[in-house]
Amino acid sequence: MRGHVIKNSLKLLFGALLLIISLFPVYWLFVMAVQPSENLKTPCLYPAAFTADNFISLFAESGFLQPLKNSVIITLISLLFSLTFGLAAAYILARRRFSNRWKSGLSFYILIIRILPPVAFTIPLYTMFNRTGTLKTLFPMIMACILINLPMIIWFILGFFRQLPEEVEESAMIDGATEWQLYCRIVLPLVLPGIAAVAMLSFMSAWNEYTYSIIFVQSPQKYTIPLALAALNSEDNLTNFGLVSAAGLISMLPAALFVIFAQNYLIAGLSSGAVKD
Amino acid sequence: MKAEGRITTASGNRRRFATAMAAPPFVILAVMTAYPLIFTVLYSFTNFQLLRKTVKFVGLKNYIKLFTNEYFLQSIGVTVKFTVFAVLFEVAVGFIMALFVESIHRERTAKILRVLLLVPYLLPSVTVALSWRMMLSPNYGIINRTLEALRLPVYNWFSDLHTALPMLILIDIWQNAPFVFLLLYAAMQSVPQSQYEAARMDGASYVQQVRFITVPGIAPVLALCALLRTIDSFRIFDKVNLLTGGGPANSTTTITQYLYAYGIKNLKFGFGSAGAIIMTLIVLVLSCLYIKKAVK
Repeated sequence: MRGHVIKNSLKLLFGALLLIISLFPVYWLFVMAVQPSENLKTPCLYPAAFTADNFISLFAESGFLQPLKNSVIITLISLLFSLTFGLAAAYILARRRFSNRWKSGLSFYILIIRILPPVAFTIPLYTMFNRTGTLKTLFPMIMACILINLPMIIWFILGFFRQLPEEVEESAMIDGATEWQLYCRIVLPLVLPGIAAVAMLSFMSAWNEYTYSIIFVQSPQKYTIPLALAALNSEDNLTNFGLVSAAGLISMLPAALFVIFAQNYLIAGLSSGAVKD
Repeated sequence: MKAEGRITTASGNRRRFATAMAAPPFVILAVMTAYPLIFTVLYSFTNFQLLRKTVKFVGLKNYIKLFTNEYFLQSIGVTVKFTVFAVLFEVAVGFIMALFVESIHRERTAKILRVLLLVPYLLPSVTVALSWRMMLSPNYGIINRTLEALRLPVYNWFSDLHTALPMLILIDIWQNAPFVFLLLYAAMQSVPQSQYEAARMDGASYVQQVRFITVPGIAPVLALCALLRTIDSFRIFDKVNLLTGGGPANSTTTITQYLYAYGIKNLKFGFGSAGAIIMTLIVLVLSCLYIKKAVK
């Protein structure tokens, strides 16, 4: 009995420690973001005073609205295209009736793209965007996010399509449904949970993107949130901790919303790799 | 005659449908990946610089320059060091986290813990880098303040030769161990309970159960985690670029950071491309086992 009590309190202690280590940096951002900047020189574990000044000056003086807009536009447009194209490609790859001798090669190629480092693509893409004069627009970033997410979506959703029995489609076809009706009205609704999960993953990888952004984005007008955040962070003693923290909190909004409202899909999506094998 | 006509239009329709569906994604992938890959290879044999008019074929000169460049060779070493330590610890810490949450029998508590522990992985890595940078700040950072109060030694974490790389690794572990945890935890749930019961009947201790049932049961996922983390750690760039910029004295310059600084930022695209090809080859060799398995 006593051993049991000791074991349980040790477990509780370990769990608390894990939670503190995992969540303290997030809590600390919150503490710094809601305090007046003079409080930050003498750190205290909880906010001694509250203010919205950091958030106000973030938008009024640091112009954070523009990067916020850019990030939303890039994320949503790239998501729309990668989902539409990714689902279509995965469907064709998953179904045996669309026979094609290139198929296994294509699946293999998609896997390779996931493995290759971004530097394998960036330089020619940069010259391509430079030559077409699109470097001053959001277009390169939209394309970069499609490049990141398209292979991921195809690979992910392929498993969902393969689990659907092909007989359902065959019987619908005998009833006179065209391929197009079949895909939109029968197949897609059946994989909706998979689509929700993969959409969240893609949303986050576009929202968090940094490597391509720092190469493809040049004017501050086209900064995304990660770039704007990085720009707020200058020399150590010049950095305004409150401002950076407020921006950091805003950058976490999508993840926070997904965790609060769609936790199950998110976790199913993230852990699908473990279940598939 | 009539029936035959209908079949051919049906299969024609099917083919048209398949083409309409598959063409756009593969055209995009060709433009965004196949074309750049080919040109990265081509550029790597030239002296291509964005602002210079003439481009000359220089053979293997870029590659020779890279392999005789002390900093590039050092960057390979730094990347390998970073990857080995980050992956080892991420898998170990993720495994311990998974065992811990698995040992909690109240389902609701386990569910809440699972999502709270996942939070670091969901954050943008720029946000992660900056929040750690502020906590580790030598002037006002909470960590140095706390260490001072406890009369422990303090460091200028990101400019000290001894602490810069370990700190980057630590932050990467903090962010990515939760991903390993999530995958391993999911895998542990699919290990049949009956095996544990049988082991307990035979008097197996907890450690023995973990060693002889859990680990073999999740071995494929363990390997998958190690591989996925290796692929991502090897290309590490964001945290390095934001926290140390490769310094002090290039001690944290990873391959991607090196190529960014000496091949992309200064527009020496021929040189940068050669480095990109070397990195690509290393990554392919590292993951060839996985590729082989996936093809089967």
